[in-house]
Parts: sequence; structure tokens; C-alpha cells
Amino acid sequence: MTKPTAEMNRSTVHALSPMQSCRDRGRQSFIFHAKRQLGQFARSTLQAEFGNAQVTDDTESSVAPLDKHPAFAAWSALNIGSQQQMWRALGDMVSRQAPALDEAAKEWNKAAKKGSIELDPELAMPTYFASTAYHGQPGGYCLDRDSDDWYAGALQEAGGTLYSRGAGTGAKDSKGQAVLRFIEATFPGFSPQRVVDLGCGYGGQTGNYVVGFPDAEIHGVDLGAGLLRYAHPRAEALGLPIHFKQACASATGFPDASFDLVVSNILLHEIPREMLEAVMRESFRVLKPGGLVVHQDVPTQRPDTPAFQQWLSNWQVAHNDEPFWQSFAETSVPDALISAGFSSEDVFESYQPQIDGPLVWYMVGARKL
Amino acid sequence: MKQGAQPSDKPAYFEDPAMQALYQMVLILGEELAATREQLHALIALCEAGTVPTAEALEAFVPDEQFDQERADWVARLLEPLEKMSSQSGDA
Repeated sequence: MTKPTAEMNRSTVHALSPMQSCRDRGRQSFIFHAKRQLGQFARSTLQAEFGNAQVTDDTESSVAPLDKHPAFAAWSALNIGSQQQMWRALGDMVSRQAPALDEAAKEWNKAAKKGSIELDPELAMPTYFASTAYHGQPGGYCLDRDSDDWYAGALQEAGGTLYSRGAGTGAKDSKGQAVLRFIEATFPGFSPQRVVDLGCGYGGQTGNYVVGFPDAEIHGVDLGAGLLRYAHPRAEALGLPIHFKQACASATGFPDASFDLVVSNILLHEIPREMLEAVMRESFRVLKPGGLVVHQDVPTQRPDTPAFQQWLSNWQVAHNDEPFWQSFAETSVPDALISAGFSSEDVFESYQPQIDGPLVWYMVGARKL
Repeated sequence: MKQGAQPSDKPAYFEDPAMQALYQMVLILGEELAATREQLHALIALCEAGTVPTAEALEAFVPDEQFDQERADWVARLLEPLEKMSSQSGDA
């Protein structure tokens, strides 16, 4: 058994990383290459067919003709099929090693000295969160079968890695590093003492803020207990002092004006519009005067987003358990920030390149002055 | 304690549901073939190197970049017929 190879290894390898067997490697490589090929097919053939449909269609809807094209049907079936395969292959890998990973989690929980975890078994899950299996992940992020269950976090990390690598992202990519790079370039010298990462999930990006701001106290908040039970021992094993708390990003329970920096990574497109607005209000509430909020997300709001890209976004909504993708694309985050209390002159938007990949990220936020 | 959410039902992509089933079967076959290729490649490479191909040796084996390229190439060949569905190919 070996640790995941570089090809699959977007995420840092740590004590809770499942070992990839020879057979796992074969299965996952097939899924990786299939996803890459299907992405290439979408960008070439499907995009060309989309253009043809636009030219020949004189109705307002230019999407319907492509939906009936045989290439679209084949691509959709293969794309969804590879996604289902991905979860099965990763689920098999994680489940097979559950006893060993369980032991590792317990050991690192016991040895925890740097960070902490605070779970709230009474916390009511919002309906949208409890009913969404994001990206088709079985059980979703709310899976929480018993008081030791860390499965959702393990699957989120493994799935996030294979999914984004299959979508063209490189092995060295890091969304948290992209935020750090943006802050350094836009607010040089900004040095927070307390940072909170909203919707931190398995903590993969939260660790970047420890590295970027080594003197700061770093907190991570998420609704999913099964995510945080993985995030905490993972962070401890990596020597990252992070304080994880189970709470909603819109109601963190932290005191007013208690953070210098509020961040989130690809949270906003996973929540309904009213929750997005509530998250902006919470960002404003917990920020100290002079503090900074930066939310990083998918660039669906870009004004020059090509029609085909918009069509692909709609496909995600209808086919890949992304129920809020389109509502996010239609929501003005700057307006939500202003409504939350930030001054319009302190609100910013920017598009930043991926650290290692062909995409750009949407950065939106504000300074609380 | 929460059992979690389940993925939503997917739309029907074909008028004939057997087509969808066939695509799923092809993917499963491709995945199984990939797993077998991976193990066979490791087995042959270990034998050629004079290493006894124990289960441990098989799992410890790391393929080289050339094999990775071969993986990419055969998956590309597998999906190549998709291109023939393009209206520009004359086969649509």
C-alpha cells in the first residue's frame, strides 16, 4: 500500500489520508482521465454544437436544442456516470480502511494539544443542508451516524481532490493560498490576530491561514459534525493549531467584533440566497473595525461569462446536486455586503487566477472601517 | 444522529432507458479494466525486475510517467467515438 501518488495528491498527505492500493489507483486513474476527456469534449465539440444551436435557433431559449443532441445525452450520461463511479471508488477506499483511520483519528484526538473541536449535538440542521448531497457525495456533508463518525470529512477531501483534478486543476492548487495571495497584493501588510474560516469543511483551506498568518489564532466553523470530526485530528496530525466549532456560518455564536479576518472558500454557491445574505450580516457582526472579509468562490458572476459557460452552470444545477449554483450566479454579493452594513466604497470584487489550474476565482469582500 | 442526504434523481438522457444502462455498464467495465491493467502492469514490472511479486510488493509499486501516459491514451481511445456524434463529423 502506498500513499496517493502525485497525480491524485492535490491535498496534503497526513495521518488520516487513506492509503491508495494498486487497484484503487487503477480505478481512480480511470475516473480522472475520463473526467479530463469529458471536459475536453465539452470545451470542444459540445461548445461548437452549442454555437451552432444558437445560430440556428430563433427562439429566446438557445439551450433546448443542445439538450436534444445525441452528443449531449452521451456526454451527460458519461459525466454523471463518472461522478457516481468516483464516489463509489473513493467510498470503497475509505470504508476498507475505516478501522485504521478510526484508530488514527482517536489517537490524534487524544494527543491534541494545538487546536480544539466544539460540537453541538443539539444544533438544528437547516433543511437545505440536511437534504443536499453536494456534488452527489453519498450522505452529503451532514452525514453524522454516530458520535465518532468522520466519514463525511474523509470523503469530502478525497472527492474534492479527484473531482478538481479531473476538472483540470493541478496538483499544487490551493484555494486558501489564492486568498492569501489576493490579500497580500491588495492589502499589503495586513496582519490579523484572529481569523475565522466559515464553512471550513474538512479544514483543507483553513490550514493555509495558519501558514499565512503564523501568529494568528485560527478558527473554523461548519455545520457538519462529520466534517469537523475529520478536520480536527487531521489538523493535529499536520501540526496546525485550529479551533473548530460546529455552527452555522450565519450564526457562529462568536462575540461581536471578535475577528480581524473572516474568510470562506467556495461556500457561497452552496447555500441559498437568504443564507448568503445572513452570512454577510454575520461577517459584518463578528469583524472588528479595520477588519477584512474575503469570500472566494466560483466565477459564475463574471459579467463576461460566455453563454456556453452559463449553460454548463445550469447543467450542474440540474444534474450534479448543485441546487444553489444558479441562484448564486444571479445574486449580487456586493449588494448583500452593503445591506449587511459595509460601506459601498469599502466593498471589492476581483477575479484571481488559480494557483495551479486554468480557472479564475471570484474574490468578493469588504473592509470594515 | 443523521443518516445524511442522498443524491437527487438524475434526468433521463435517452428516450430508451436501456441506453443509459449501457453507458453505465461501459463505465464499470472501463473502471474494472483499469484496475486490472494497473495490477498487471505492476506484476510484469516486478517480474522483469526480478522482484518476487508479493502482495506487499504489488502495493508498494509506483508506476512511471510512461504508464500514466498509456492510461490517458487508452481512456482517450475509449471515448473517441463521442467525437463522431458531432454534427461536423457527418455521422451525427
